[in-house]
Amino acid sequence: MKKYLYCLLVGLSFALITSAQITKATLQASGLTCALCAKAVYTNLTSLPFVDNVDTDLNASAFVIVFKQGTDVDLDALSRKVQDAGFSIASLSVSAHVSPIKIEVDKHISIGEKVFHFLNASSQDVPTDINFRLVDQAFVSAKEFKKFMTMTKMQCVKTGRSESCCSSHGIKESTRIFHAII
Amino acid sequence: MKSSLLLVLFSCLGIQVISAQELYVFSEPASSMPAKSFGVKYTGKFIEQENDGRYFISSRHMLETQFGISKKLMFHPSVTISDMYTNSTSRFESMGLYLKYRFLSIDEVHKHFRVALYAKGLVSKNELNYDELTVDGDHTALQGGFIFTQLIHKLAVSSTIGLTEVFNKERWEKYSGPRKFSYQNVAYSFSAGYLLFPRQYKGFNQTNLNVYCEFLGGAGLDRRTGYLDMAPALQLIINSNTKVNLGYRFQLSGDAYRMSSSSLQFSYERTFLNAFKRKL
Repeated sequence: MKKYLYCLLVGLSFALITSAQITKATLQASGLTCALCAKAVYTNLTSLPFVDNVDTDLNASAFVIVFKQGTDVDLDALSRKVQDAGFSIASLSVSAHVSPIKIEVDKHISIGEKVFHFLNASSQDVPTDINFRLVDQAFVSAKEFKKFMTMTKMQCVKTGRSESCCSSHGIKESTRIFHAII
Repeated sequence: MKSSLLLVLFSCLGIQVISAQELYVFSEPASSMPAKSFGVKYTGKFIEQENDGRYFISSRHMLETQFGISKKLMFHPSVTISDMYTNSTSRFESMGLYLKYRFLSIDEVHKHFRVALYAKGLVSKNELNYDELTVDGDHTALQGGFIFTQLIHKLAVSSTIGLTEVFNKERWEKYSGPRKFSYQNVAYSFSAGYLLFPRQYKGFNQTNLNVYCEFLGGAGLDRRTGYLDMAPALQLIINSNTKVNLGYRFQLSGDAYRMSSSSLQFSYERTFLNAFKRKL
């Protein structure tokens, strides 16, 4: 019993749990220029059950995705759908509605049911809304990913999953951790 | 006529800083179809033939279905009917299967470099009568090789190199004279494509006009004959799902014995995205 209480206290100390919802994402796809290719990405994104609508800027290969309220947004599914269309994600910026939280560098923060690790935050308070960019391998180019990996010494940035470096934060082994910059 | 076409195409290459496409008319790019997509394609090839001083048009009609299995793998089963080898009567001619596996993809915004392995096998009813070896319907043959495609901003260029082996029964028939036709060749191509219109995208329903220039060649490995063709083509893309292609292919140089040194090709292709539903 004591063990469980300890774990709970540690978890609460380091992972700030918030009731939150990811509301919108702006996705730029790479590897394409044509409308037919963009249509493949658009069709795949709109097939996701948690996507409400997608607005497209064909000239920039950019997609503004609005998510359905109250649904669990699977960010990795966005990447899979773009790859299934034959392309990659160059950048993915996310907007979320949160209860007041504090963002700190190299701390793990839960937004909704997801755990985020901010690589460049400077102890800032976020009252209600937050915008950040995901920098895991699936959401940036290979060249950029190398650059982002140098922003922290923690190993989880390489795999996108909790490593030994995360256990002191009360994060379970192999938990998906989304790395982000703000 | 040929020189005018060349002039127009190279003028386009020189002055247009515009979008490009890699949806080539006479060859395949290294990119694959979207996963879980389905397509149908009709291709008509028309040539002029001569028999005892009489000139006539003969044709081949190919119906192809296209399946995107995953983001890297696709296959195209196809059948052809043709009167090219019968002089007058159209008949079922061949069935084939094209496979492509994209194993390298380096993507950046408006850029990519991709490499794919491809193979096409074909079973044909035709006899082996020419040096030109194809996997379009002419021979029972197998061809495999590599495709390299580079998109640089809005310019797309692609190159293919493959080996063709013919398995017609004539290959194993005893014949005392010199070898009549090629059984093996290297097939190669270099292709470039540009999007002429629209200049600025406004929506998926805008019709796109693409211009292509392809060079297609074959070199016999057993009989040292070969050819190099040029193939300019135009393409309309309608509603971001339908392609209408028109191309003319003609020989630039070569000494291979061929059925025809020029051909006109028309094709119509419809793609159905996300046709095979699956979970996340």
